[in-house]
Amino acid sequence: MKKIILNTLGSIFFVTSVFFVSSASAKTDNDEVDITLIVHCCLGHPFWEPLLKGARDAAEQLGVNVDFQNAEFDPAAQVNMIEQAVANKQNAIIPMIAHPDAQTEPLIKAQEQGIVVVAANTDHPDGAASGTRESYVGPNFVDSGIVIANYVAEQGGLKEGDHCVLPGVSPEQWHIAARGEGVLKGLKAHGITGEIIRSGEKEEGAIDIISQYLIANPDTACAIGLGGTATSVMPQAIEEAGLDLIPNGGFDTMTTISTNIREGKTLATVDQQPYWQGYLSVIFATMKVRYGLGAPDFNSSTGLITKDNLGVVEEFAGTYR
Amino acid sequence: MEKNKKFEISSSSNRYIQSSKLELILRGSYANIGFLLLALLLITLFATWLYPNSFNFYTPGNLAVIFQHIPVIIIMSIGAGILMICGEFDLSIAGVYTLCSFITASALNEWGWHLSSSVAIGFIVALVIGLINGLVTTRLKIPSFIASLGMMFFLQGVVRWFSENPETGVPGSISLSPPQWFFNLMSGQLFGPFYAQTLWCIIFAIVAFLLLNLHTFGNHVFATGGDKEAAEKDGINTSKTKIIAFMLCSFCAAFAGLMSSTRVNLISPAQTLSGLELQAIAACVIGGVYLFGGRGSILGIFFGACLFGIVDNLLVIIRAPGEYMPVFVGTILIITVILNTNLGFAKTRKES
Amino acid sequence: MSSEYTNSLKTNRYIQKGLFDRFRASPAGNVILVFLLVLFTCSIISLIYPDNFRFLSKPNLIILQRAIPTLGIMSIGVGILMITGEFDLSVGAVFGLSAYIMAMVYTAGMPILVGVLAALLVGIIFGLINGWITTSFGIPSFITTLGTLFIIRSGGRLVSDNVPIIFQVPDWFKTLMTGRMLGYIQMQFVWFIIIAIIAWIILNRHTIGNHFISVGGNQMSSTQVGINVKKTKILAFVLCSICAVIAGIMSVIRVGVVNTDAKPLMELECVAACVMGGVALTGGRGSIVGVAVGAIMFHLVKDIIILGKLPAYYLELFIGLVIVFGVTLNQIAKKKY
Repeated sequence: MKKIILNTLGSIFFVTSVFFVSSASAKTDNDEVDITLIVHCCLGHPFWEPLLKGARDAAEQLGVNVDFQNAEFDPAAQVNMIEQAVANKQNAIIPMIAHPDAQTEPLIKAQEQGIVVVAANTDHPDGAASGTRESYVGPNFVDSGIVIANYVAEQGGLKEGDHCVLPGVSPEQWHIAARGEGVLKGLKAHGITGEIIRSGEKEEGAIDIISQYLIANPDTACAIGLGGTATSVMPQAIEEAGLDLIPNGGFDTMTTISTNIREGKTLATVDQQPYWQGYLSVIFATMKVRYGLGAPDFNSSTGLITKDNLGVVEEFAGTYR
Repeated sequence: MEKNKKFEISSSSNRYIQSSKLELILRGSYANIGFLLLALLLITLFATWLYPNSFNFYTPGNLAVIFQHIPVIIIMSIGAGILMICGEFDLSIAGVYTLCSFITASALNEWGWHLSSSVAIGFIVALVIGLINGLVTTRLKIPSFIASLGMMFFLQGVVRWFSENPETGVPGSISLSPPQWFFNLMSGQLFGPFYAQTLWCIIFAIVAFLLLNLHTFGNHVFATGGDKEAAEKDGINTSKTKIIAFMLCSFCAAFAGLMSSTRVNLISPAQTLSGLELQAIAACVIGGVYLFGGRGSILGIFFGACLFGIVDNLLVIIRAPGEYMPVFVGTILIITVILNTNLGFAKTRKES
Repeated sequence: MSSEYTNSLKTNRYIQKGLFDRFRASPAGNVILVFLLVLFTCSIISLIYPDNFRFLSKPNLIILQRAIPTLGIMSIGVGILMITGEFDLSVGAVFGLSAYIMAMVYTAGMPILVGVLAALLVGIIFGLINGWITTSFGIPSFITTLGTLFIIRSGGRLVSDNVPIIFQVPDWFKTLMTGRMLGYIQMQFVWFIIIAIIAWIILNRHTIGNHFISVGGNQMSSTQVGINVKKTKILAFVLCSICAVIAGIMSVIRVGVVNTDAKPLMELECVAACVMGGVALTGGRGSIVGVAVGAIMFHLVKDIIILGKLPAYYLELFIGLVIVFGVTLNQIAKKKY
C-alpha cells in the first residue's frame, strides 16, 4: 500500500513539476511588459500588503505582468534575483536598494542591457547620482525619523535632558536602523537622549519588553516606535506598565495605530504610503518601457498622520493605506 | 558496513553472491538524491526544449547565478554535514557567516590591516567560535542543538554590537572592497559560466571526501556519530573528534561568507536573520545524512545542496509568486525527503 | 533513572540516597533549585532597592504573569512531544493560524466558542498531519515540521490575504481568559497552572503518559511491549498543537490583533525552555514541572536584564548565555546524580 502511495506521489511530483515549470514559463509573450519587484525582506509581513496591492492594481490597469520576489535579508539573494531577472529578459526591475554596495553593480549592468530600473521603498544613498535607477518612489527614512522626533518632542512638551525609548523589531534591519538614526538625530537637536531596544517580531513580545523597560525606567519621557509592530502596541504597553500615557508615536499605518491616533492615545505616525510605492513604481517602469517617458523621484510620504488628518486611513488600512 | 561488502547473502539461494560495482554505487546513501537531481535536470532540459524563448534556466546570466550562489550553500552544507555525521548540530552558522566577514571587512577598511591578516583574523574568530561550541557541547555536555542555539542568539547580539556605527548609533552594513586579485581569487570568472566559487566548492568537496573516506579522522567521525560509547571503547577520542568537526563547520561557514561577501561586496548585519542554518541542515538531510549521526556522504550533501539551490533558483526563474515561496520550499522539502527515504535504493532510514 | 540506592564508594554497599539527592536527580530538580535561588535573590534585591530594581512592583508581576503563559503553555506541548522523542518546529505557525481562524470565525458573526472550536480543529488537523507524515514515512520530525512550518506560514496567506484582523472578544470571555483576580493574579497564569496540572496528570498518572515516556526512551522495546508507537506519537503531536492553539488564543485576546505572519524562533525558544527544564533532547526523560519552571526562568531572565538596565539592545546576547548556563547546570546534575 505504501509503495503504491509512494510511486503515485513520485509520478505526480514529476508530472506536475513539468507542467508547472512549462506553463509558468510560457506565460510571457514578447509584446507584454514583464516586471520583477524584489522585496528586501519579510514578504509575508502585513506592511507590504498595500505595496503589493498597488503594484497589482497598476499591473492590472496597464496590462503588464509583475512578479514578486523575496530576498530575505541576504544581499547575495538580492543580487541573484536581479541577475536572474536580467537572464529572464525582464523589461523592468523594481528593487529596494537596501544594500547599496551590493546592488549598485548588478543594477548598472541591468540598465546597460536595456532594462528599466525604478527603485521603490529604499533608495540608494547617492540618489539619482548613483546611476542605479531611473527614478525612485518612496520615503526618506532618516528624514522622516527627524520629522516624527520633532513632532513628538514639541507636541509632547519634552524638555532637554529627557530620555526616550525607541523600540524596533530588530535594529539590524536596514530601514529600522535608518529610522533610528533619524529619530536619534531629531531628538538630539532638542537635547533629548534615546535608547534603541529590540522589541521582537511578535506584538505580544513587544508589549512585554516595552512595558518591562518602562517599569525599569519610569521616567522615560516618550516612546517612538521604529516600525509598525512596535508603534501599534505602544499605548497598551504603557498602560500595562502602570504608567500614565506618555507621548508616543512612530511609523507606518496599521489599523491599530490609526485607531490609537483617533482615540488620542498615539500622537502621530509617519505614513510612507506604501500603496504609492507599489503603484507608481509599476507605472513609471511601464511608461518608460513602452514610451520612453521619464519620471521624477517621488517622495511617497506626505508627512505625518495625526488626529487632524486621519481621514479614511482607518478604513483602508491594510489595503490602500 | 555495506560500503565495503562485496559479498552479500542472496535472498533466493541463501549463498553469498558478489554484488556488481554498479549495484554498490546504486546503494550508496547518495543514490536516491542523485536520481532526484537527475530527474530535476531532465525536467529543466525538457522545459527548455519546449519553450526555448521563455524558459531561461540555461542562459548565461542564470547559469552565472547558479555557479556563483550554489557553491556557497554547498560549502556551508559540507561543514554542517560533517558535523551532523558526528551527531551534532550547529545552528550558529548564519552568525559565523556574517560576523567573520564583518570582522575581515572592518580589519581591511577601518583598522587598516593588511589583507592577509584581515582574512586570517576572520577565520581565527570562526575557529574560536567552533572551539567554544565544541567545548560547550563536549565538556559541559549540553546538547549541541541548545548550545549552538545559545551561540546563535549570542552572535546576533555581537554582530549588532560590532556593526554599530559610532556616529549614528545604529547598526550599519560594511563593504568589503578587496584588492582585485582577491576578488578574482574568490569570485572571479574562469571561463563561460564557471566561477572561482565553483572551483572552491569542488576543492572543498574533494578535500572533505578524502578526509571522510580515506583519513582516520573520517573513520572517527562516522564512529562517533554512529555509536559514541562504542567509539570511545575503541579508543577514539570522541570529544576531540567533535571539537574538530565543530571547528571545521565554522570554518566552512566563514569561508562561504567570505566568498559571498567578496562577490556582492557587502556585509549586512541583518544577514544573521536569513535562515541559512536551516537551509544547510535541510540540504544535508535531503542528501541522505542521518539527523542523528553516523551515516552520510559528501556526495550526498553535494547533491542535496545542489537540489536545494537549483529548486530555489528554478522557482525564481519561472517567476513563481514570492509570497508563496515558503509553501513550495516546504512541500518540496517534505516530498524530497519522503522520496529519498523510501525509494528503496538505499536504506537511509533508521531501522526502528 | 532515580534509584533510591546508590553505591557508596567508601563501603561498597548500597546506601539510601537522601531526599536532597533524589530531588536533584529528578529531571526538574536542578532548574527548580536555580529558579528558587533566582527568585529569592531578586526579591531581596527588590526589597532593598525598591526604586532601582522594580521586580516586586505590581505592574512587573502582572506583566510576568501575562507573558509567561504563552511560552509556558506552548512549551508544555512541545515538552510532551520531546519526551516522546519528536520535535515540532511548526508550533509557531499553528499558533498564528489558529488564532486567525478563530478571529475570522468570530468576526463573521459566530459565537466565540465556535471560533475557539474552529481554532482547536485547525490545531488538531495540523497535529495529525505532522504526526502521520512523520510516522508513516519514517522521516525525521525535524524535517516534516520544518516543511509544514513553511507551508503554514505562507499557506496562511491564502486564508487571510495578509490583512490583520482587529477584534475584541466578548467581555466575559476576555475576563475568563485574561482577567485579573484579587488585583494581583492574572487569569492567564491560572490557566497555565491548570494546563500544567492536567499535563502532569496525563504524563504521570495515566497510561498514555507511560507510553509517551517509553516511546521516547526506546522505541523498539516499546513496540515489543505492545505499545502502538504510531498512535502514541500522533497523539503527542496533536497535544502539542492543541497547546499551541490555546497559547495563541490567549495571546491574541491580550493583544487584540492577529495576523498570520509567524517566525520560526518561537519553537526554538520552547525547545530551549524544555531543555532547561530537564527534558532530554533524545526523548524519554522530562517532567512537566521542569518545563513550566524552564519557561518561567526564560521570561524571568529577560525581565531581570531589562529591569537591571542592561543594554536591552543586546537582549539576545544575554539570552544566549543564559540558555547555555541553564542547561549546563542540568547536565552537571545529570552527570553527578
